[in-house]
Amino acid sequence: MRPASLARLVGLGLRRDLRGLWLSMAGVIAGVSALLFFVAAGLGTSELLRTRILPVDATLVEVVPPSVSLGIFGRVEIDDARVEELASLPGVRAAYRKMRVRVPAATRYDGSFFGQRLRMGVEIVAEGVDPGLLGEEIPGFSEGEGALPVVLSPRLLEIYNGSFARSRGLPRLSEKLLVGFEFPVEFGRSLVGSSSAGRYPVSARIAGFSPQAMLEGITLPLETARRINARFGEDDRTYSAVVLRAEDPSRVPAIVERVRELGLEVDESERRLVRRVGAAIALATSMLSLLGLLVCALASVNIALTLGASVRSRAVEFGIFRAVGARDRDLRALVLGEALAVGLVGGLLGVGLARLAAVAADAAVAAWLPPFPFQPETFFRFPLWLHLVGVGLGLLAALLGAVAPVRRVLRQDPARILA
Amino acid sequence: MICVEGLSRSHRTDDGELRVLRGISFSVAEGELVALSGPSGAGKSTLLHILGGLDRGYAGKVEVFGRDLARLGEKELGAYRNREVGFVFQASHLVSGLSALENVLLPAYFGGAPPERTRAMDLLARVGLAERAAHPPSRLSGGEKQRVALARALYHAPRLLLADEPTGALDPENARKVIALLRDLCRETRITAVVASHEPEIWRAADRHLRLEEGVLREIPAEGAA
Repeated sequence: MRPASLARLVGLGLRRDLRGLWLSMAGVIAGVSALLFFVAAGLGTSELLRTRILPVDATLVEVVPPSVSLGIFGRVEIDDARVEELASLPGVRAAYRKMRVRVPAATRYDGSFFGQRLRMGVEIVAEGVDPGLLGEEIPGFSEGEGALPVVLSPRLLEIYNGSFARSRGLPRLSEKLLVGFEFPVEFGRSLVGSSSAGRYPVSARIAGFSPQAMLEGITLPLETARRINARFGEDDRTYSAVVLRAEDPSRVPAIVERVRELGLEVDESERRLVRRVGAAIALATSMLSLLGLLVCALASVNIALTLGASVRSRAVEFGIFRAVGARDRDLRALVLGEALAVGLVGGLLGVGLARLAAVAADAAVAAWLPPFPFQPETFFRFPLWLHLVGVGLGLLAALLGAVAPVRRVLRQDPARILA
Repeated sequence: MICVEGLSRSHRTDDGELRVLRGISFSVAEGELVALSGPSGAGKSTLLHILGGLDRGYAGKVEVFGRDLARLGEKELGAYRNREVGFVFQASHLVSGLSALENVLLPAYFGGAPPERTRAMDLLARVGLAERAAHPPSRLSGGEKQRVALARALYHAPRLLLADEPTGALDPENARKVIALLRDLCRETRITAVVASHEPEIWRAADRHLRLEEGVLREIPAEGAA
């Protein structure tokens, strides 16, 4: 059968039962759009989690001293010798040291803050890092004269903008605007007391932002942290952590194993959190996607019923086709063609509806919910493969729905029908 | 040439097995117009469907143009119905939704070659319906529908024409027109034709007259037809 003839007769068949056609198509549209909407929401939310809320560099391993002492063997520390040992492990490209400032610190701000009056005091945590850990070079991020250069986490700024600024009536700020901003920090003092070794008031200047900076405090150059610790008579020799950068993510498991053999631990708290939240998102997405699949299965049954009824009512027509030379494969092609046309158009419309629903959902969130941290422009991600899955699912539902009608047509006895 | 030997066909009914054809034998020479008569339910349609390759549940031997129909595969049988046989049914069985012209072209949809609209138009002109080519079946009268069905049956210039009560649903005037057309076309094309009909006009126009009664076939001499 030539394609043009097939298309003509398929079109004719579809026009025979327009109500059934729309019913069949509506099922496919509902199933495909529901599935795509939920999968796209899952993909978008996972991406938001991975890239903005809890960004985890898969090549980084954070090594920390063991939390439990081994008694007679003494405490395993991370000193320069241990850092060198870790840096020379197979698969490790670089090692970056971290040292906590081991005295309390607080900031008290009382003045103009970007055009608003701000008066607040807050305890802060400070940590020194090798500048290489922060990725691209941050100008002025080195130990020197003048204000202490500090780097902040972009997530901290997001939380400020999305929550703190709104509740305190403060302006929303950008990274660019904040670079160069200075604020007072007093080391050796907390809001509940002071260090016996005295106080060290300084001015801190925001040098930049980096995802590798600590979330809950300020990140300083390593030598600055070492100097402050020494000034207060605290340990300025051992490190609170070492971050190893693997040559590629596949080397990470072996590195982790070697680190543990050395009696050290790997801080996986953030990675675990990402995994846990990611699993929760995946579970919710799967459950909701199952609903979409269920609707697709119902659509398939619906196609089977409507196409079956249509085929039954057109028995004479199929008998005529037989009489003028139609073979099994021709009749099969006709019925499958009708079903696949429903599946294809239903699938395409389902994809379109899912995208429209996503736009509507994003617009509703933007219009009705107050701004919140990490709020993305869209909660959905529609990669090309998802579109193809949508159309493919429509075709599959139609194909499965056509199985019974095809068998019915092939079983019809033209001699009896045409007599 | 048609050669039928010991042809039997039974149908399963609620009351048991109904023997429609009881071992009939006959032959038809190429180019002959054969009239087939008999009471309703005598098996005329069954015989035509068997000759046309639509019914394969028979016993006996049916050879058409030197080929045993029972030995033809699904593909060959499709090609046989498509190119070598033309069917005309009592109900014209045109496909609604297609124009008269497209109904004539219908065999081409299931053949390998592209539809020849000129040939279909010529056939419509031959049955006197050229000006109705674009009309759907719903806008044609009973006689016109049957003439379109006749044109469709002749589209591939088949060697065998099988007509099952082609005038059974027509008024006498239209029946006469269709019979005259059928007779003329058979003579023009020298096609082999088997026409099941109650119409004495068909019996008179035919080269031979066969009568089927209670599954048994007998030949009726031309003078004795009635």
